[in-house]
Amino acid sequence: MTAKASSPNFNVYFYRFKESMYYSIFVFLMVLLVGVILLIYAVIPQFQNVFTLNEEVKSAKSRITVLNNNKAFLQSVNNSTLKNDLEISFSALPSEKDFSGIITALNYISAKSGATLDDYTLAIGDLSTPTEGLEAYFPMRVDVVVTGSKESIFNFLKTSQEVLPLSEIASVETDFNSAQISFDFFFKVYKNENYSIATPIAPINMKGKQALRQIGSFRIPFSTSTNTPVGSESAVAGNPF
Amino acid sequence: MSNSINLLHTNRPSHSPIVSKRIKFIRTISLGFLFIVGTVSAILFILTTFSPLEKLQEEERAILVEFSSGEIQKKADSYFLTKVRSEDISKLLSTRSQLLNLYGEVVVLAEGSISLSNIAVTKEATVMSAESPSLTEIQGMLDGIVKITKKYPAITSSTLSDIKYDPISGKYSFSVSLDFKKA
Repeated sequence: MTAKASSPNFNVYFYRFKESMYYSIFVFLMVLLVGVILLIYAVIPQFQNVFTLNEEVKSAKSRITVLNNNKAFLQSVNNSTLKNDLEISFSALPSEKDFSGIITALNYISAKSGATLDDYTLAIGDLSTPTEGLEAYFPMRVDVVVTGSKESIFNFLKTSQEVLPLSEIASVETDFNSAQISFDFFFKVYKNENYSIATPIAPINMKGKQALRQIGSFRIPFSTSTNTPVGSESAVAGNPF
Repeated sequence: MSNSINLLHTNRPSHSPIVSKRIKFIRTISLGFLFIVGTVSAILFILTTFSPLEKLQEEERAILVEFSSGEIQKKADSYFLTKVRSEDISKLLSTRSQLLNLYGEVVVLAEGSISLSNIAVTKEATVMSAESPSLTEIQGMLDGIVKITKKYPAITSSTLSDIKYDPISGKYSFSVSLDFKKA
């Protein structure tokens, strides 16, 4: 009996520990530990989650603002003006080799200037529309021979710079009775990815507006309007053959 | 009479004031910390639960559906195409070669008795042949060419060559060439 009472067991140690000052310290350290565990495994991930959510909310708000602004802006654009500008811009800078447009333009220039168009050669080049170097303009060389007076040849050159499609005079050789002129007619292929409604629509800049106004007067009267399909650049750039 | 005997001390050991103070400090810190963690966690939970993200995403989807199905998308495409093209056209207009202007200015120089027999204008050079009975007028034309070279910085040199006098017609014939910088 005496031996059993004196031999320490777990209960005895526990009650001794419970009554000691270390018990209180232990309990509160456990509480602190639980707090730290909660902080690491619950609060910090929640913080990150809230930050991510906030970022997503900001981003969504920004996208919605852009979409609403785009919608409001597009609603403010006059439909007929836009259609007209689009047609002019396609006539001026086609997405493909616009042979009929070039021939129509040459005949119109000849008729307006008084110089007779004797012969012309279109350097067609590769029949396929280029897909590389999309940032560049593609010139198509057209050589013409015209006859006429000094004035009519000059008028031919001058008028050629005031009709659509747009061209550049590459060379002129004349004896003032006839002239051999080389033109570069331009076309340009655009990437389809450029047209994303999620990006803010910036209005056409002043230079662009001035250019549209300028080339508006370059239109050949009574010519058939250029086909300007909308919504698919591949349709715009289709091969005519 | 009690049947059991308590072998342990019945009186709780009293801690010294310093120890009690330390225990109180630890208690305050741990409970305070737990309270703060709990409160912050509750606030974060509320923030996450009541986030307007889903509502915004629905709103965005609705606008996109409206764009993709309606006239607005077509109008947007038209506007983009017009915008990009107009800006390119503007660049093209401003960078087109000035050969027409140069041609016009050179041809105008042949005034009075000077007659141009031919002229060739390219992006590399301009060569013209002319004739005149008057050296004074030829001098006037050359002065005009010097003015043109000052106006067009791309002209690197101007050369007068092949000057000949034909006693039968009484005219001087000559050639003038203007060379341009290579692009």
